[in-house]
Amino acid sequence: MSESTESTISKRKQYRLAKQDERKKTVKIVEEGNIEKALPKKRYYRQRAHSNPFSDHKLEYPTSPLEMDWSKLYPDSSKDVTIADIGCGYGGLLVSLAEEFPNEKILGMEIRVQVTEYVEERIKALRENNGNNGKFNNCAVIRGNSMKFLTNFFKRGQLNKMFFCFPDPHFKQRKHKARIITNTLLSEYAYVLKEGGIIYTITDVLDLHEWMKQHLDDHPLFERLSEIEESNDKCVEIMTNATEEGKKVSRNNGSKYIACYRRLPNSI
Amino acid sequence: MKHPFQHILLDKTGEYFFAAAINTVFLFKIVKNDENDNDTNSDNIIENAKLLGSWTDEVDPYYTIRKHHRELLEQYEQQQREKEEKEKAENELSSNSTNENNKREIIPVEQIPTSTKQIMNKRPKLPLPGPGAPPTYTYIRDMTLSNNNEYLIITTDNDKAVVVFKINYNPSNDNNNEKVFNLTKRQPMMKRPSAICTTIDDLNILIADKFGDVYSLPLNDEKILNDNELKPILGHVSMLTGVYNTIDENNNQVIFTTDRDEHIRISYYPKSYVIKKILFGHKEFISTFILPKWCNNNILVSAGGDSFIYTWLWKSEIEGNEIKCKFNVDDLIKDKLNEKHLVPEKFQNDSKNLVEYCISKIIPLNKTNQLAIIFEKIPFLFIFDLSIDGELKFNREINVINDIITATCTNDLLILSFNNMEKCLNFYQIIDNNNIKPLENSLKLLETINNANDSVIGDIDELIPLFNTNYLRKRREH
Ligand SMILES: C[S@@+](CC[C@H](N)C(=O)[O-])C[C@H]1O[C@@H](n2cnc3c(N)ncnc32)[C@H](O)[C@@H]1O
Repeated sequence: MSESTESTISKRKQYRLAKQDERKKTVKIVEEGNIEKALPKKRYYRQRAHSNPFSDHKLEYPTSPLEMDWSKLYPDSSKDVTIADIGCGYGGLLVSLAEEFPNEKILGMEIRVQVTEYVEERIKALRENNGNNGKFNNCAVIRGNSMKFLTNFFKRGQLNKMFFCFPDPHFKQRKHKARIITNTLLSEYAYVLKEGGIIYTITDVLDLHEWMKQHLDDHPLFERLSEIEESNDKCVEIMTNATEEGKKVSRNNGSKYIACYRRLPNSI
Repeated sequence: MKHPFQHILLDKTGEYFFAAAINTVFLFKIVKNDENDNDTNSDNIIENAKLLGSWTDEVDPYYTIRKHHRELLEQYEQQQREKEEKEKAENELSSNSTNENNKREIIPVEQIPTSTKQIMNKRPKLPLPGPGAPPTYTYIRDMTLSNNNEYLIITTDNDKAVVVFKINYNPSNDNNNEKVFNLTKRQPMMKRPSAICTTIDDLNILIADKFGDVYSLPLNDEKILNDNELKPILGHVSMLTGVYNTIDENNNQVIFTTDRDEHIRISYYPKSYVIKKILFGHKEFISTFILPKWCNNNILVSAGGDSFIYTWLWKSEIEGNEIKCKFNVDDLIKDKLNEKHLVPEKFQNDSKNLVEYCISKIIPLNKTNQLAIIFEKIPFLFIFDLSIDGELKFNREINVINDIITATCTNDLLILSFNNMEKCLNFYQIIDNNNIKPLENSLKLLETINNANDSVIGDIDELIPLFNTNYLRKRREH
């Protein structure tokens, strides 16, 4: 087994250099409407690009989904979270989804501490800028390692939608288990998704796109949406343009590869 | 001095005893006096043990290092080949080309800085473990018997393999070539196996590994699979500590898997991609669980790094309502903790008195509907009564000579293995709920077994790690 052949090394390097270049450019977040409270500045919240999903972080997570206290995150916690953005990064998608689905609750899960803090501040500012009239009360972020503890947060069949936007590519063969879509993790995603629920994936890395497609195609509990269904789904458009990574890719005229899958019924 | 047994296992009949010391596994027959031949009840007195055979794992102790070196070299050669091909292609291109601008300037070799040259042609370093590196052991880590008692399956540490033996329990005395341990296959895995079992029908072995994946391999097929032919049937992103196959309330097969991140997962089988449910409650790693026979498969008992033994009505229809009993053991053991239970320096408090303990094994005592519980590095065995409906009650503690490594029980015979060079085993007879007494011929058995044990070490620092459970504890970083 060759773990890092010449070609993957250079692919990884190219990717990393491109990302480095990108980071050097200053990034401004432009929110619509009047901005009163200053939105947090991303540059104060930057952190290393990666956090090891296998290590024992000092994480807070409920012992079981029934013990989760959602009132810390949502002013009104009468309804369950139904939409999850896994590895939400700086939260662009969360905010857009919150506006698109005012009657659903959206949770972003992010493993990096500073990045999570940034999103917390961002949501707080957005809520205040709307005169605390309830707008953006339906979105929140939590620090967590979804690869280990997703099922501690969500009950079986709780979610309608799960987003995996521009996940870390982990090029090295040896690191493929670190990828956020694997056949074994898909079984956990199927567990927290209700029948008919949808997994959305988007990436600018063709290899990773092929990988995610392959694993989702192979998994008996998922079925790909047809092209028409994909293009009619407004979430597809939102996730293509709303995330920070997605915006970067657009600025660099990069490609975006999309694949969406429906949760099929169990057949036991 | 003799190495103690890190693993012991009575077969399903209680007449045969497997014991593993370092890299050797022995099989003994428990010899009973059959004076009263026509007396069919099991009151026969155990007289002695008889060695039937043994098997020693002679795998190369440098297996892992060599495998790693081989991979590095292959990788290097591959890179060299690719480089050569690229150069060849480029040379052809430049010689065919008539356009001057296309010609690359070729830097004469002497002008290339040495550092660059080194990088260009660098052969991979083949690292050898330094003097401070942890030793690589060749030892038997885990052992289990197939449900039909015919196969012994062990896992080895060094080549991360699963080794399957067909056991000949009745080798004829006159034919010395007749083997007891008949190796049918040795399957190396990618990651170290951390738990194994066979499926209910004994057609497959389920292998759970350190990285959280479970593989299913045919028990009888002698074919060895390559790394890329091994595909997990389910997985956690956490080290697995147990795996078990049984039947649920609807007669569907399920697999239990437990991990270091407090989860007890129940998946269907063979459709292992469907998670049936997850049992939540533990606050620390789970090291051991059983489904006692007398509870008719309705009760799961689990324990590990926190203060509680849980019993679960795992078939409960209301999810989140499975906990039947949560028994706090703090009071039972708090005055039995000693300096061996001090938290490592790095995680200690200022007064340096922080202690931690864990349960390493639960052994069902089918005869009396009881559980025997081993706490790591505590020289007591704790006996609990477990009712058919999962009620757990402390019965008593039994003081033993040393810290208990492991234990095994079939019918009325209970055997403990100790971290003690002279008296490494003790044999008990279970009389009734309140009486477990040392076997009369205990010393004779011990002598026979000790004499057979040829796993000898020169010094106690040659002991292989005997107490591995508390290492599962998470030391949370940032
Ligand atoms: C390349 S970023 C994409 C961020 C965002 N989705 C976007 O499109 O802008 C991937 C993010 O996933 C996070 N991540 C990686 N593994 C994770 C895990 N196991 N649990 C939660 N977040 C994770 C990383 O910290 C990182 O912020």
